[in-house]
Amino acid sequence: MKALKNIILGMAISAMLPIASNAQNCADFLSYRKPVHPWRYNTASKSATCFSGKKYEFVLPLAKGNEYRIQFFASPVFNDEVQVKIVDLNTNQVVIDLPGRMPEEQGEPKKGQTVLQDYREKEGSTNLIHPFFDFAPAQPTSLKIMIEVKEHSNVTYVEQTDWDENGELVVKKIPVTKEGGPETVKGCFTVYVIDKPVDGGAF
Amino acid sequence: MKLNYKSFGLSTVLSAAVLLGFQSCNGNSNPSGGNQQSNSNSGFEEQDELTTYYLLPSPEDIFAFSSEKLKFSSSLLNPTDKAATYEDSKSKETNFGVYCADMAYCAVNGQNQESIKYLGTLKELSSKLGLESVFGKELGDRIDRYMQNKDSLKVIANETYLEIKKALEIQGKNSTIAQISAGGWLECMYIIINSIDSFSNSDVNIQQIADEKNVFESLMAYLEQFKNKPGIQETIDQLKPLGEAYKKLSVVVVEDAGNQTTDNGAIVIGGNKKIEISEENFNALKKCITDIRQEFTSNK
Repeated sequence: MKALKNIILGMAISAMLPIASNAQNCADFLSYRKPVHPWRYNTASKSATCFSGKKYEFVLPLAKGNEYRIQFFASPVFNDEVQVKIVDLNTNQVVIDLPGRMPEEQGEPKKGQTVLQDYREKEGSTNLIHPFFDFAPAQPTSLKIMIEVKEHSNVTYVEQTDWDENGELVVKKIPVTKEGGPETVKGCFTVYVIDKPVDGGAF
Repeated sequence: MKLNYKSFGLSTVLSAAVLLGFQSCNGNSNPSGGNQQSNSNSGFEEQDELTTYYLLPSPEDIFAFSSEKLKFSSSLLNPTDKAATYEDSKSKETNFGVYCADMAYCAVNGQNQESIKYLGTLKELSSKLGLESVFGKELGDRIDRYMQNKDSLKVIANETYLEIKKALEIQGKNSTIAQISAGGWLECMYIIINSIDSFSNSDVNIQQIADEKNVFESLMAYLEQFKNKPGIQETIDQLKPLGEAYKKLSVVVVEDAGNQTTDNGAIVIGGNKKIEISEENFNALKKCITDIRQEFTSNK
């Protein structure tokens, strides 16, 4: 009888676990983002709950006469391990096909290489820019944004300070392999859209 | 009560595993309530299951294109006193969308008193949809502060719409968002098309109605995701004649500037196929939109 009580109590407590984890609210992410004039927040922006190892599509209709800027953000739990492909549905052309991050061994990302990693505005600059993609519809169309959230890697990176060949102290990321296979993790993936009226005679 | 830690610990772990397992299965298959579909053109190696989100513009975004060229007419609004007559969930939800669009229309046209009136109606309907929290004291204070400023009113209208959407997302009421989107989008089209006095090939508002075909298709696909929920199939059936009217629009090839990017680096998309609308198409769309809007708001 006592064991039964404990089992019921245990089930009640553990029932709260998924409720607590579902309380994570991706939509709140968008509340913190404010575009700078002349850009306006586009209400089609979406922050959705995603799982590693899964694929998602976001279909975004775009009107002629506006220029659109799209940025992507992912929860740290995904470690930027995504692939993003954007298809123009009017022409069926792939306009973007990029990973979320550069492989560790390739060093710092440059503009146009990833969808999630900040890059330096200029070489040597400390000013970091989050990747953005601008679109100007010549005709109304829809973009299909396809997201593949990769299997969660069982490799994590630990930061370690070390001296480089120039005698400067640098922070290096050391890969550490965890035991066991990939696990399913949950986080938010955000498609942030802003727009502005197209400048006269832009194209 | 004394706990038997051994059996408690074991039962907790076991039941947690079972429940998380359920959550994981549910999440893996369909985290948002969205559909799964295979997609042969996606370019990913294998499309075993997929969740699709349709991103739709708010009424304020739709009116942003046309408000400067449209004459405000309060006769196009759905009267606020009809709100109390909407009793079933389908008509409450679609007409919530209709009133959102009406409020946005008033706000973009600087009709302060009308905007406040429609905001009040939304507040009244919101309690029937479990959205009371959106219309708290903070929003009321902001309205009082900014009601004389047209731009601020636009911002409030848009923010209210977003807060509603967010509150519904948190509550997992995605089918309600779909119904509100349908009502809101249709009311925008009703207002724009009925504000146009006569057909002209060069009227940008007429072209906007034609160009909204893309949004309509997304809206229909979005509704399809929830067709098993109460009231959704009825909305789909009501909107179907509009799909037929849109299918009759022709697509023409226009001159292509050939640019891949604009001067400021934006990628040029959309190709060179333009949706063309004739006077006959325009009249058919107008009749169709007006009839459906009548069905949505008449509370039959």
